[in-house]
Amino acid sequence: MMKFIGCICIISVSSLTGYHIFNRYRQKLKLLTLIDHLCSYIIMHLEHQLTPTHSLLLIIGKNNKFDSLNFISSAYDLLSTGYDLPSAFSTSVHNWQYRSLFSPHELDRLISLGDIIGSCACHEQVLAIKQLQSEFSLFQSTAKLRLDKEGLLIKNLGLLCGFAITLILL
Amino acid sequence: MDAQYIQAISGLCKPIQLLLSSISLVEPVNEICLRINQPISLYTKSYAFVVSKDGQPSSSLNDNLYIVSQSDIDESIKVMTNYSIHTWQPNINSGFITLNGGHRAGICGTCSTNSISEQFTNQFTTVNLRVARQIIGASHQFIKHVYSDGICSSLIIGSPSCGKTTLIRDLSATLSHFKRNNYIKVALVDSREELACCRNGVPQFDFGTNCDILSGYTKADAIEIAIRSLSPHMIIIDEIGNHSDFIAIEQSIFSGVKFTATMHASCVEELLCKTDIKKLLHNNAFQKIIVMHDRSNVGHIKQILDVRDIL
Repeated sequence: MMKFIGCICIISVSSLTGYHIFNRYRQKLKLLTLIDHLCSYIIMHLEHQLTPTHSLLLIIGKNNKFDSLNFISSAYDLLSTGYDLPSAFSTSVHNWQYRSLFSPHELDRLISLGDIIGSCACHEQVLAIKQLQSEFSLFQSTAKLRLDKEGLLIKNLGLLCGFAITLILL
Repeated sequence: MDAQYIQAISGLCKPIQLLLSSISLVEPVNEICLRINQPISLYTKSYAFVVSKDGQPSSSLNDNLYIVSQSDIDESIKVMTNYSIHTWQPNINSGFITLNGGHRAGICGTCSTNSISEQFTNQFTTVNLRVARQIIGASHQFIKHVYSDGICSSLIIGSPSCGKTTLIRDLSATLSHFKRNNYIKVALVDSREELACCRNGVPQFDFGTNCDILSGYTKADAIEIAIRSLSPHMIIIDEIGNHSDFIAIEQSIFSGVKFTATMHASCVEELLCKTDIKKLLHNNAFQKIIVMHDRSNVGHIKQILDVRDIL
């Protein structure tokens, strides 16, 4: 009986670890897609409404669609307490709960969004954000490739490893 | 330093703000000028100063002066616009940003054209911050002497920086103050957005309960709108000078509305050299001409003349 429970535990832990890694890959892809939408949303606000930066951050922060990108509302809070926008953005991205899913280079590009918003004339900002968006599209396709290849493999490997360890131990 | 000065410098970048907050001068600072690769200049009524690295005013150039960098200017403009340069672009293109409290930052740089042929200013090189001070009671002398026989149309003339704008700002506030009887409705035409100093549409000075502010309109449009829809007793206009301004006033003089306008001219002789105004005076558009003292006696009236006496 003990052996049986032990086997179940090993298989469960191993499968869950595989699933957890797979989920991180999936979560990252989801966030990158959301960042892509965020860029389009910011461009729309800049081009059509010339929304002031404070209001823009507030609007995004209140939009349920962008709930996972809660560093935006943190940046708004910091901005309201006297931080300058680049520092507010940088601090809030560094404190973001999902930061560990991203590489330092990807985080740097995300932080650079704070340097662009509100820093120059509208069309210059739009061009810079579109450039950033194309970089994020590239990260997105890389993440999708990794999810399709490595993610599924790791998920299945988790389960297989569990069985393999159980067999060895038995 | 006075509260208006502290409020004005809060629009500058942090390092310069810290530097200027510790400065103490005998006279109040009227203007703060940041020019790229030059020391910070402070202008009072009588003197100009530069600022040292330790925040002390200096009356001569030396090696210890704080030199303004490109990033100081860029950061100051971002702070003034609340990190929303795009929202303020039309104002920046017109050369100014109005700050909280009505302080005004004049801006210049390089004018460029974008892909859709819109002109915009970037690569900023100068920020000239003018500290706004509402002088309550500045128009009391004016009201006492000019409106002694009831309100009439008047033209205020004077050289630049003699206090014309401050005078009509206070005049608008005083005339439009709430009264149960004999109230006066004022329409304030603020084409250059210097009088009411609206920031995000909100006037930064108190103009009383009966004042309508037409900010950013051309003078001709503003006068037409005011007469048609706001039923004012008095229309107050700052700095008339273009041919179209005179035409707009000429077309409205017999509409039962009084006008108070200001104009650049240091004396009546200079004023009468301008053909447009001569024509207006002949048409009885203004009944009185008020000549202001020069910069040495800012805000004081030098002469009040009856138009009939000078024509």
